[in-house]
Amino acid sequence: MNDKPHFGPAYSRRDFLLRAGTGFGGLALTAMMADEALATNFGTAPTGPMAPKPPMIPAKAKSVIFLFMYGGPSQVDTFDPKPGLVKYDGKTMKAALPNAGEVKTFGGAQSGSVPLMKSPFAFRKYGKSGIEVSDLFPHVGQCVDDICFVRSIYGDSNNHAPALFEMNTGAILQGAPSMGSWVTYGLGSENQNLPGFVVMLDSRGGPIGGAPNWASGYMPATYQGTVFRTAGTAILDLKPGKGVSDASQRSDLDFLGNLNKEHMKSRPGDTDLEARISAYELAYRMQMAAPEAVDVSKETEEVKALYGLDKPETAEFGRKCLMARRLVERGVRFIQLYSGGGHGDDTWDAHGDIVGNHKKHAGSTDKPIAGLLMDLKRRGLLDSTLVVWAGEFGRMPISQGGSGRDHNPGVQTVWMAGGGVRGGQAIGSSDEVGYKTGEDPYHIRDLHATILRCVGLDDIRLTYLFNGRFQRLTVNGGNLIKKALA
Amino acid sequence: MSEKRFRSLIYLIPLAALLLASSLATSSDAAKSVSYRESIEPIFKSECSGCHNKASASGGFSLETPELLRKGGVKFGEKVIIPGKPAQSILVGYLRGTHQPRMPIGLPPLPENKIRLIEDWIAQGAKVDEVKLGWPYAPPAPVTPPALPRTGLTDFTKKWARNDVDRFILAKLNANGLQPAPSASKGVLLRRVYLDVVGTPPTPEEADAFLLDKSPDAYEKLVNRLLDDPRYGERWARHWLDLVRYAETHGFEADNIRPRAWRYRDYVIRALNSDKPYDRFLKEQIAGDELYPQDSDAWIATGFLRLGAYDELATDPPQRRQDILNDATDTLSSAVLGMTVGCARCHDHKYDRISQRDYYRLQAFFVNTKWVDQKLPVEVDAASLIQKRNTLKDQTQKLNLAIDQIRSDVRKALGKNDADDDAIDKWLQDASRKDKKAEWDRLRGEEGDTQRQLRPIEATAETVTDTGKEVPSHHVLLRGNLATPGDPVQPGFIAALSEGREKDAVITAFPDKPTSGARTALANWVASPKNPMTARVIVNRLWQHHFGNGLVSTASDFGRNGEKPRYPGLLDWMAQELPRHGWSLKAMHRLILNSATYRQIVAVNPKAEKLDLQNRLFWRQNRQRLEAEAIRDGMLAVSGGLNDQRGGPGIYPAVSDEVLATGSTHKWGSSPEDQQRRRTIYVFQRRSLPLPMVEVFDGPDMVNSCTRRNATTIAPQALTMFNGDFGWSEARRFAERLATEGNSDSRIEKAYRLALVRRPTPEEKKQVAAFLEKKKTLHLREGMTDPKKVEFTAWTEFCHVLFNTNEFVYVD
Repeated sequence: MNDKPHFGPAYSRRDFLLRAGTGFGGLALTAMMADEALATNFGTAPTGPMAPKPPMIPAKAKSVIFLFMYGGPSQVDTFDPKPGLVKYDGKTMKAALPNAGEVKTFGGAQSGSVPLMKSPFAFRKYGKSGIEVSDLFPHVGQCVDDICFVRSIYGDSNNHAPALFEMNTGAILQGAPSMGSWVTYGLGSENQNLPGFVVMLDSRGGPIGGAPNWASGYMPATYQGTVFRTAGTAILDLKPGKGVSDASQRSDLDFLGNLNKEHMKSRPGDTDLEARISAYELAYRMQMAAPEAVDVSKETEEVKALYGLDKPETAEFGRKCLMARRLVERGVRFIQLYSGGGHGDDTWDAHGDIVGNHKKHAGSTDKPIAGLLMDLKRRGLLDSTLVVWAGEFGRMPISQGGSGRDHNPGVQTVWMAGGGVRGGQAIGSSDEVGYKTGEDPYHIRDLHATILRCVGLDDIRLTYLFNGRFQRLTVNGGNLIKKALA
Repeated sequence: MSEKRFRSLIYLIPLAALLLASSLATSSDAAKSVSYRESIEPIFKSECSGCHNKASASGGFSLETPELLRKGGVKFGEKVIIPGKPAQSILVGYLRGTHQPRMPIGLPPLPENKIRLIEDWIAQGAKVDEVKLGWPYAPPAPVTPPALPRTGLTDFTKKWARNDVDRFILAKLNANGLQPAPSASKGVLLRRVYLDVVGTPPTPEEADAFLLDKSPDAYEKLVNRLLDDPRYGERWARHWLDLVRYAETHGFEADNIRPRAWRYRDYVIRALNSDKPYDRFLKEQIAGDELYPQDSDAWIATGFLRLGAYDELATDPPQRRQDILNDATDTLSSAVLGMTVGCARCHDHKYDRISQRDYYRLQAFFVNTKWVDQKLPVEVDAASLIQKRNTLKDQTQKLNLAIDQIRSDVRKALGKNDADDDAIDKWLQDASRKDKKAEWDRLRGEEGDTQRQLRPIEATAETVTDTGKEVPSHHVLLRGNLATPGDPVQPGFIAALSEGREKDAVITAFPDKPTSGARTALANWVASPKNPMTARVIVNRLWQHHFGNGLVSTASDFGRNGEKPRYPGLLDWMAQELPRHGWSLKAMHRLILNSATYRQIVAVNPKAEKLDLQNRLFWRQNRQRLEAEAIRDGMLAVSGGLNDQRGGPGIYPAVSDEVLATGSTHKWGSSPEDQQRRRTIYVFQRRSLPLPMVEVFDGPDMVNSCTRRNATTIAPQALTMFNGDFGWSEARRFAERLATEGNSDSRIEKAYRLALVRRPTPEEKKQVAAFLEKKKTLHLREGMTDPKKVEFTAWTEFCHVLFNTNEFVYVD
C-alpha cells in the first residue's frame, strides 16, 4: 500500500468554477471567468472543456487507442510463455507451487486436484528482441520490437462486471469516470467537430455492465464516451429525421439560429445561450465530419488488406482499427475498441474450449492489430499514439472442464506500443505457471498511471473534486511502470 | 419605530457586524490574530501532510499534530518553528525557497497569502487554540431577520422586501453596496413558477387564470394552487430520487429487475404531495419498520436502505455486504446530513471532524439489517391498480382451477394420485392426446404470464428490517479493509454533531417487536431539531432548486471542502423555521417562492457582476437550463400527448436497437404507445441503460448520490433534440394540435402560448409566416405534391424548431 496523498491541493477559483457545476454549464463557466477572455465560437477558436489543453508533463503520445479484449484473454496462451506449465502439465497446483494455497476460481471452489494445463499453442521468437509470442498472434509477433509487454498486471476482481469497471475506471464499483473521460478532462480534444472520446463495440453486443464502462461518472457528460457504430450511421441520431433533406434541415437550423439570436438580444452576455447555439452548429458539422472520419471506402486496397478488411473473419475488427487510425489522424483523443461482445464464447471468456475460443478471437484481431501498428508506424503516427492491449483479467493455468480456463485476476499480460513506450521488451513476470504475478507486480492502477504519463498527465495531480474528495483515476496514486517508458 | 422593532435592531447589531465580517470584502487586517485551527491547520493538512504525516514523515518530519510540529524534523534535528520569529523559522524558509528544496516539493509554491498567514501566525507566537465546534457543527443559534438597513436604501429598495427572507438578502446586498433586482413580469413569473414547481409549462387556460387575475395576491394564490397540484410531487420527488440514487435494477453484470422498487418512487411522490413532515419522512426511511409498522408507507420507505447497487454475481459475499453498508452510510450522510464521510472509511477525515471511529459507529446502526419483501399491512394503491391486481388474481384462480382439473383427470387415468407435472406432461405427449396437451400448455402459459404481470403490483414492498433483537455491534476496519478489523465499536453518532463528544446511542428495544431499536435511535437523532445538519441541509436543497444554486453551493458537503454560506443567518433562520412550521416543506417552498428574492428578474448588473459574478449573493434570479425530465415532459405537455396517469410500475419509452446493443444484458420492456407518453419520472430506471435522452442531458448515474445535475451543453444533445425520433413525433402531434385552430395567425399565436408561454410579437409572426412559406416552397420544389402534406410538414418543422429554441429549454 503506498502512502501517496489523495487529498489534493486546495483548489483555485477556476477549479471550483469548473468543478462545482453551479447550475451553469462548465462550458459557460469557463467563459465567464473574468481573467480568461475566451471567444465562444467553436469552429474557429475552440474553447470550453473540450478545447485542447497542454499536457502537465512533456509527452510524446497525443492519442490513445485502447484495444479491449473483453472476456479476458489467457496470458499463458498468448504472450506469456510458461515452460513451467509444460513441466507441470496434468499435475496439481500444489505440485508446482507448494505455497499457492487453495485455488479460488469464479466457477466455484476448485479442489486441489484440478490439473494444470499447458498451453495447446506453440510459442516462437520474433524480431530482434526475440520476444516469444504464441501461434495465436503471428502478425502481432512481427511487431514485437515496437511492443512493450507487461506480464505482471493484476487486478482485484474475478468477476466480469467489476473487473471491467476496474480496467476502465479504476474502481470495481460502478460510477467512477472512465479512463477516456479522465484523459479528455485533462487534455481536451484536438478536433472540435468530433467527440474527443470514441468507443467502438463488437457487433455481437456491448460488454457486461454496459454504458458505465465509458461513462463520465460524476464528471459532466462532456467527458463521456460516444459510441461509434461500425455500420450504418456512426453516432446515435446523427442523421436528420426521416425524409429531411439537407436543404430543409439547414433552413430549419437558420430559422432556429434567428430565433435564438433574437432571444439573446435581451439577455446579453449569457454565454450558456451562446454555447448552445454553437452546439447546434457543431452537431451540424458533426453530421458531415463523423461519417467522413469513419468512411474507409477511400482507403487504398493495400491499406484495407493490411487491416484484413478483405477477409470475412478479420473484416469487422479491421474496420474498427482502420477507423481508429482515421480518428487519430483527425485529432480524436481517446479511442476504445472492443473485441468480444455479449456473453460466453462471443467474448474471450474461454471457460469450455480455450482452443476454439481463442483461435476465433485471435484470428479475428491478430492481422488488424498488426496492420494498425504497421500503418501507424509508416505514417509517423505511432510516436504520437499510444496503443494499449488488455482484457479485464487473465485466465487460470489450471484447466476448467479439461479444455477451458477460468477467470484469473491474479495476473494478466497487457501490452503497450507507441508514444512514450520503449518497445521490444517484456517487463515483469508471472509465477512459474502463470497463476499469479512473479517479478515486478503492477496493479491495474499502475497501468493507469503509466498510460496517463504517456499522454503527459500526472495521475496524482489530475484530480476532480467530488463528494468532498479530490478523486483520481488511480485513487491514491499508482506506481509508474518506469521500465516501460522510453 | 415600535419598541419591539427597536429592540430587535439593537439585538441585531452584532449580527450585522458578523454579516459584514463574512461579506465579500476580503481586506487583510495585519493586526488580526491568526487561529491555528481555522487558518493554519487546513493549510498544513491540504498542502503538506500528504508527505509529512505520522506514517511517512518525510525527512523525519510530521506536522500532523501541533506536538509533532513543535518537535520539528528528526533528520536535521532542527525546530522548524521559532515562535515569534517567522524569519528564523526554517518552515518559512522551505516555503519561500530560501531553504532548498523548496516545499511543497515538485509542486508550485504556496500562494503568497497562505505563506503570509503562516508567518503572521508564527509572529504572533505560533499559538495553538482549542478545537472549536465551528460552523456547521454547532446547532443553529437563534436568529431574528434583520430590520431594514438604516442607510443606503433607495425608494425602490425600501419597498422591495416582501418577507423575512428578503430582509436577510437586502441587508447583505446593501452592506456590499448592491441593489436587488426588481420583480419579473407576471408572464415571466408564470412560466418560471410552473416549470419550477410542477415541471411543465402552463396551458393557455392556466396562464389566463393567473394573468387575468388582477387581485393583489394573484401570485400567492398561484403558488398555493401549484403546491397543491399533484404534479408538484412528480416534479420534486425526482430531486429526492437523485439524492438516494434511485433505480429499479441491481446494476452490475446481470442488472436484474427489482420488480417493486417503483413503490418507493410513488411513496416519495405521495409524501411530498401530502406535505408529510420532513422529520417523519426521514424517520420512516431509516426506521419505518420499527416506528410505524401498521403504516404501509413506512415499510415502503425503508426501501431507502436497499436502493444502492447490488452485485448479484459477487464472488465475495462478505465484501458485497460491506459495500452495501458503506453505500448506505455514505448516502445517508451526504444526502441527509450534508457530510461527506466516505474519506473516514479508511482514515480520519483530513478536512472535517469525522474520525474513522465515527464512520464505523454510524455504520454500526445498519449491520443487523436484512432485506425483506414485506406484505403491506394496508392498501396504498390507486383503485385502478387494485382492480387490475384483483382481475389478475381472479384469472390466476380460474386458470389454476382448470389446470387442477386436467391434473386430476390425468392422475386418474394414470392411476397415480401423486403424479407430478412432469409425469403429467409426459403422459400428454402421446399424439392421441394432442388437444388435451395443447390445452394444458395454453393454460400453464397463461398462468405464467398472469403471474409475471401480477408480481410487480402485488401489495408487497422491498423493505428492510433487523435480523433480530440483538443490538448491532461493529468494528473499525483498518484502511477500510474487511480483512483487518480494528477496535470494536457500538452504534453511535458522529461526535462533531453531538457537541463534540463520542457517545454511544441509547438503544431501547421495542418489547413487542423482533428488532433491536437501533435504527429508531438513529432516526430520532437525525430527524431532530437539535441535529445541526438535517434542517440546514434540506432547506438549502430547496433553495438550490428554486435558484439553481444553494445558499451553500456544495449542498452535500457542508464541511471544510465545501463552500461557506454567504448567508449563514438566513440559512440558520430557515433551518429553525422548518421545525417551527411542523417540518412542512411546503411552508418552506412558500416562503421562498413568495419572496421578492425569488421573484427577481434575471438581471444584468455590471456593478454586481464585477463584485459577485457567480451571483452568490442572489442579487438576481438565475437563468436555469431545464433538466432532461422537464424538457421531455414539457414537449409532451405542449404537443398535447402527455398521459398524466400517476403511479405504478415503470414504463418503457421506445429505445432504438442500436442503443440496446450497447450492453450485454439489457432487458428493455415494451409499453403501449399511450403509456410511453407518461411523465419521465415514471420511466423504468435501469442502471445499465438510462433513457438516452435523459443520459445526454446530464441525468443521474443512479449509482452515486446526485446532489446537483450538471448542465452541460454538448453537440449530442443537439443531435438528440434535432434529429431524434421523439422530437419529430411530438412536433407532428403539436402541429396536429394547432391544426384545429382557425387561421395561420391564430395557430402561430397558440404555438407560442403553448411552447413559450407568451404571445408572439408582430415581428415574430411575420418571421414565422415567412419561414412557413419558405419551407412549403422548398417541399414543393423537392417533389412533395400533396398540398395537405406540404402544409402539415411545414407546420411540423416550425413546431420542431420551437422545441429546440433556447427559450424552450431555459427558464428566466
